Amino acid sequence: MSGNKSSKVRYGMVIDLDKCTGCMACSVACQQENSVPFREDETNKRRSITWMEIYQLDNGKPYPEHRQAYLPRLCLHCDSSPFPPCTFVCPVNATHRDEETGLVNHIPVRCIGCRYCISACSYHARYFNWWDPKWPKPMEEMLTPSVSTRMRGVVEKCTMCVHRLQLAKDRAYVEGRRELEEGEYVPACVESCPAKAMIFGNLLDSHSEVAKLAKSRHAFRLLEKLGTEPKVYYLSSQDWIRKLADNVL
Amino acid sequence: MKLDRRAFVKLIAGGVGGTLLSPLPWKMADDTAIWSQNWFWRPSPERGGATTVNTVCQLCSGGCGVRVRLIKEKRAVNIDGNPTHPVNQGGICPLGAAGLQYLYGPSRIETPLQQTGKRGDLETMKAISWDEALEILAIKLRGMRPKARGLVCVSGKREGTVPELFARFLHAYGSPNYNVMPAAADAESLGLFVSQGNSGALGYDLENAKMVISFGSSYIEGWGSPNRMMMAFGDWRSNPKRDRTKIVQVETRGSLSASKADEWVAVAPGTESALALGLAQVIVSEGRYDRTFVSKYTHGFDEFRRLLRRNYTPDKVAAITGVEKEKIIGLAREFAGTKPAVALSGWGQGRMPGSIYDFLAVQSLNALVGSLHKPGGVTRMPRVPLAPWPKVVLDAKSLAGENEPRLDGSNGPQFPLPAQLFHNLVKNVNEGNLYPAEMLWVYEANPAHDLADVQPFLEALDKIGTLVSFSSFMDDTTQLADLVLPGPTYLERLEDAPIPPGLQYAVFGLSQPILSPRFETRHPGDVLIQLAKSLGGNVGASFPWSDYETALKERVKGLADAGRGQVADEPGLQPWKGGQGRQLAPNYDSFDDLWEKLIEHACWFDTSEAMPSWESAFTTPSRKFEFYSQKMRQVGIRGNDLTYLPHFKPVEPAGDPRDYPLLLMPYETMAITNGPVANPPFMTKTLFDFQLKGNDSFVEVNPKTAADMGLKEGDRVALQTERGTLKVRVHLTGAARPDVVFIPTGLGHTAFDSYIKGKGVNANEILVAQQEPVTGLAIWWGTRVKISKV
Amino acid sequence: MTGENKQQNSGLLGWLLFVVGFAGALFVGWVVFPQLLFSTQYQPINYNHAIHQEEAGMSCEDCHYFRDDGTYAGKPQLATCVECHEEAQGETESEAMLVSEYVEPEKEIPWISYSRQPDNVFFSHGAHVKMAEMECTDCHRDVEKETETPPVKINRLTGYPNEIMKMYVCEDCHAREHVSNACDVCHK
Repeated sequence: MSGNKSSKVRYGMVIDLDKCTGCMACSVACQQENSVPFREDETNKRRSITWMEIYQLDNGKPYPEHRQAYLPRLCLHCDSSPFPPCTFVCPVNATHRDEETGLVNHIPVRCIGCRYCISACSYHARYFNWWDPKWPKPMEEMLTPSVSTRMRGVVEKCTMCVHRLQLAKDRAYVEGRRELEEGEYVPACVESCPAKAMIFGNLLDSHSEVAKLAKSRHAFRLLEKLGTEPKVYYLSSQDWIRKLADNVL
Repeated sequence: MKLDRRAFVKLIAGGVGGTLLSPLPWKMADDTAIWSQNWFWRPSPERGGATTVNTVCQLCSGGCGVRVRLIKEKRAVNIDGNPTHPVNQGGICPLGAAGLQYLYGPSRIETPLQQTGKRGDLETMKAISWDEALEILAIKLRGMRPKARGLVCVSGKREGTVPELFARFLHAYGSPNYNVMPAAADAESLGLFVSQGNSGALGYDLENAKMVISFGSSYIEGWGSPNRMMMAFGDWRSNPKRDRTKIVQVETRGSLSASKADEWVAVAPGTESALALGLAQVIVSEGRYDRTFVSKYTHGFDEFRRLLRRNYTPDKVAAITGVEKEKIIGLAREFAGTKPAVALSGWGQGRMPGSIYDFLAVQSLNALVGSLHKPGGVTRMPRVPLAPWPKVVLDAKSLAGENEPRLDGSNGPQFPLPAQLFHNLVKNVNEGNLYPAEMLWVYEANPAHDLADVQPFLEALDKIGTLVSFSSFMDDTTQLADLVLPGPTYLERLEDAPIPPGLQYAVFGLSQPILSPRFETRHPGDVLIQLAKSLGGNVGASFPWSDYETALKERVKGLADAGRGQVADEPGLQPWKGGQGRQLAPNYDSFDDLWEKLIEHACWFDTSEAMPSWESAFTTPSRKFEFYSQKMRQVGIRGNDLTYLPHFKPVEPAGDPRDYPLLLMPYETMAITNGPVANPPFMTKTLFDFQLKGNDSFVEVNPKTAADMGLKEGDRVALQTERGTLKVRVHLTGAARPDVVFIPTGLGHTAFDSYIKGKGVNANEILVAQQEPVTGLAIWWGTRVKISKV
Repeated sequence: MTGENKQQNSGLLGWLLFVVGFAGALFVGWVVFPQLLFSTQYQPINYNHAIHQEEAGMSCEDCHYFRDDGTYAGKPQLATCVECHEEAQGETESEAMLVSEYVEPEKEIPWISYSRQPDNVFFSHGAHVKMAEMECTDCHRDVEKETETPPVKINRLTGYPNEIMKMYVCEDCHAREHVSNACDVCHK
């Protein structure tokens, strides 16, 4: 791990691709949790906003040696020192890494929409609002107050459901605790996963499940050679998947 | 005195100086910055205290517990899985997670509607009051009573008290024509009936299996209870290596279920059951079967053994399935040598009835290795001890109805087995057989889109007198309806959720209104009760309850009276651990207490019903598991020995191979729901741009096949079958077998909202459903097709 | 008049005009502008904090409390009022209004907030009250002796009340107290 050494908390995730069934529940749960806007036609993937995007991978072999796998890709909350690539280039300080948690945040109201961060991100994890978000009238009812909606002309991305961290802390404070226990703060995607393929926690806590799994011999990160130090790890027993992850996506 | 230029400048300078020393410019600059960030035109969700309500999802039969978060107890803002519900343990599928998009969906129906013009014309659908709507229906039903048999009902929900109320209404009214939408459960039920003696459903003890062979079941893509299956899959993958459950997928397409299995056996299309018989032959000929079970508890083993030796040797099966002989032998040895091992049947997500022989072939494999009614094997689904309702009050007309032939031909001379044959009903209506269908009720189903081979159904509608829909949404069928009696969505109504398909322990889920109905909808249960009362006579007397809630409570009392099971109120319950037959100490002390806890936690579960012993499990004429079915002979099915034995005799796909050189097979994915509702926007967004691009959907073609035909990725093609033509685009993938092309089901809706209407094509329009001669079940796994570039 | 005088006079006038302009601008900036910038809005009914505490013996937490999930219920819901005011207890005009216009038709009282933050701000009362042990009056006006609810001054340009806490105030205090100023501590 790099990044800020003074903090005891580095939130991170492990996604076990051997367990992932590609059901898309994480992506839907994310859209609901974060009021991610949708349009009538979402098939232009360069214009579509999907904080949790699922990639289909295949081993490139012909039938019947062909195998496919799905890979959920959220913001990887890079821990590279001193900055993740995206925050380094932001001219207005709209995105920034919280060094107490390791989470890379992005504050849309501060964003001027220059999209420099989008080009800086190696993982296509950032999205631009090409249009104002619009919900059919009755669906405005289901917007959560836990996150604010965005507007055209700003960037947005996965926040690791940081509002859940805020709420979890709130509860802990009222109960007189300053520290959170493992599992008190979990992003919506992790909570939704029916195969329990996603594990979230503090990577610096050696007793946490996420820290143990991140050290597994099947663990890898996307485009590790770039030195971005993602805090999202993947597990796969398949060589072809591990190989693919370090080449192209 | 004159104001000259200099003086004026001084005035202005003074003004500027004064302004700069006042808060005005600074405040204005600051406030303008704040104003620019207000974005008043986009919604700012109302804040307030949050509460959580537990309920059960009813979007499929999976029976998962969900939690809904409400703001100020009036605005539902989030659905997630309920960790205390044993079936899904906090997990949720994409459809369940998008549930609020149905509650707040733009295609909700707000009041009862009457078609005053031509069917299908939304302009002439007139909003009417509930009193009017019920009056219209009651008048029609009174007039139709002499021809009571002409009332047909098709339900998409197969189990539960509301479907039972529909069946009850038809029974009392005098119609034998209560039907359900076709599903794998049809072949399962018949197969159990002929081989084990009692129809019903299977419960797979998958969590305790060490090896699972799935014969075409999309075990992680929607088969059974989807979340339960994905959770089991995650558990299998968590086990340490030496203890890992091995998964083998037998399937033609390189699906996710195939790719994620430890081994994918790519069989020739439609030959899954031939492989099952091939494995059986190796197990039998090498003496690897469970000798105790086979010798003491089976009937017809010798006939079965002879048939296997004659027709299903590894060489012959290799020729049928295209699987190497060595692999067949190896797989058979592994299956027989791993304890416990189980074979799954039911193609895809379980929406296709399939052949009874396919079912029997796979289940005889389970029988051979002694996996019937054993931990880690397959047993029958336990019963939930609901109290019965009083008997239906019958009059002369309802008794006459009991003796009428069913319009779907089941239980009749042609198809003597007690099947659900909605496809055959459609055929009989179209051909004018038996008697006319005067009125069709549609509940929780969307046959105008979801029925495989949908064209004949649409034609049959012209011959059906009145179409009545109970749907909450303006779906493909409802927009063709003459009368719409909209129900509240599952999030606004009380209803039970029965045991999901494939589960080995008992659960009883209770959906409850998380908020008051958004529109003037009425619970179908209440509608039936009110309708019965207004008809009066024996029909009214058969519905003695004041409302649906009373009727439901009357049944739930049975749970309290049985004194069994517990309300699921803590996370991490694992009813599959420790075996079935464990008594649980009830955590409720009276019916009222039970009901209150059910409202709070939404789920009751029980493990006290043990798997039946081999002595008592079978109610066939021989009291044994029958490889050779005497039941079939008993009900009057005539044929040679083969007819009564599991065998492989595929129903040939429609179309002449010379005209239609390729085979078209439908496939299902978790990202596209297969009804009765259409994909919500959240889910449609997750589709890849090689599944849906603009309004075009794709057909999967093997790259080599495509190269031979000069097709490239994204090319527009016409898929032509005997039934019709659909225009799609080509997606090249090694998941497709060279002689087969694959098309997803669930797209191509002609109704719902602008987020889904007209997106992609409906594969059901060109699939041809064949009929299995013995059972009459619809078979539609493949149709021959011609592809041409357009 | 001589040309010199003329010049002097005009110079004097010039400076006079400068003072007029200066004073006028100050007046506009300090007195007129705030009048124009803020609209005055009155609460739907008068709430007498003092009488509820002194005569009814209520404490602040009866209405302003932490919910079980740790969030803070700022303004009470009508249900809290109904606990006592199902029917009028006294003879004040505001109470009569409360009963007839809100309690009986079961309508929530549309209180105007004095310190409502924008929807992208997350403010944790728990962190400030429970952890930092701050007093309510460190940020809010003291209502203990208050018999009349004061009107709310709403900024016509921004739409926010004038009492609202600005981001720099939060940041200054966080910096002083060595609390994180990371964006996601307060923004969502």
